Amino acid sequence: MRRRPIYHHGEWQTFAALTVVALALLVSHQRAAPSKEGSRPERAARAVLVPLQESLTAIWRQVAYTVGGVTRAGRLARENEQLREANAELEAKLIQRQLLYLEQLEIVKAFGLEPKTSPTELRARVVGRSPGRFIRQTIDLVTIDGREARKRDIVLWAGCLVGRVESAQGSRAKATLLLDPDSGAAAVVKPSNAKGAVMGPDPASRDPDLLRLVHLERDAPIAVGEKVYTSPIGEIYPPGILIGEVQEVIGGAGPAEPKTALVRPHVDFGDLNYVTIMRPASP
Amino acid sequence: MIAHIAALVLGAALERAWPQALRIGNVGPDVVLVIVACIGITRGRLAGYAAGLLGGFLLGAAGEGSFAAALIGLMAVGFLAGQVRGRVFADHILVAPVVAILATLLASLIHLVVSPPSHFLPWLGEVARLMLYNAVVSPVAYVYARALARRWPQRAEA
Repeated sequence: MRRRPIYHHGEWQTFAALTVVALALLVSHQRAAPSKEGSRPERAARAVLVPLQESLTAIWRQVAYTVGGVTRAGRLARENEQLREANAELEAKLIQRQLLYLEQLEIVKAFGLEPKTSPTELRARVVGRSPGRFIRQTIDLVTIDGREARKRDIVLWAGCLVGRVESAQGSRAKATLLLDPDSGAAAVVKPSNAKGAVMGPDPASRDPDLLRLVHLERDAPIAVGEKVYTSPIGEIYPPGILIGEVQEVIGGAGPAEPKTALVRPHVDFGDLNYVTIMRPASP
Repeated sequence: MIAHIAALVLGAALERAWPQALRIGNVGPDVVLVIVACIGITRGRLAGYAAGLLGGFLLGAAGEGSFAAALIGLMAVGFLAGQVRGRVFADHILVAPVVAILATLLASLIHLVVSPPSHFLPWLGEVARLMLYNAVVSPVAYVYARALARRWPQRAEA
């Protein structure tokens, strides 16, 4: 009796060809790894995926709005009214700020000085998020008006720190969140003035959204409820951006025990729909 | 083939754009892994292997974890799921959750070897949640893949 062949005629050649393609993709990925932009095929794939993600997110948002709207119509009407009032107030403040800026520009020109460029702020929609805790914590962004995002731009939500753009292609960008295990930011605690570094959460922690404030001095007078801001000594983020609030202080009892604080971020990373991309002013 | 490619591309986009409200502890299902496994079951090891290559590349390009682990893991899943084709119960819908659970386990083991997590026990908990989540979404992918296989049967057995 003849045994059935393991591979049919021509099948192994196809397997071999596919394996070669896989190896080529791996090699091109490794070569492009230092830039974090990805190889050319990866960039092409992202150019296809991100618009699709944008459509899927829009569909999901519409469904959520419709379902939520039906169940919470009364409360939404009240909220809408409050938001209209807040919006009118903010618009008035914005006009005032623009007038002040123009005035300042006139003064600078009158003294014959070179005006500084103002920080660029772009609004962006969040169209994707990494699916698990044990992989890099990133979000995909698309700027609303199609303006270009750049690598190293700062991502904010309501003035609070979200993360930083790690790669950008035109209006599409990928940002690393503060929650990423590899992320870090020099921080200062106010009002105690304790200095340290905010790192991603401990993967073993039950709460995956609690950041760690490490490298604190053992006798740093840090207390629960204090606010954590980006520090002027950091090179990645501009100073004074709110990160979160100290929720718990651990350690620091003995000389060998380092002090660590757990920081609750002000940003709800699980519910990010829109963010602001900020490019600090050039000197 | 185009329908399979479209499913993989859509699956990769869906995996990243998975609604927050449907995530369990910030974890969404491995949509692409489930689709690759279902293509393997309904089309055989060669199609599964190719689907794994494309799926792994798309996930790697989207920036989820290790590129090598995604590529090797999904190609292995596609190939092994393809071995189920033509066997007893391969046409039953319940084969999808079983294969999805095993596929998640295999892909996770490959991840463990290629890019080990910093904390093992919490990672294991996440893998267990993922296995269940993938099992729940797998019948949808299976029904789609089976409908394609019935609509366009293969000319030669793989």
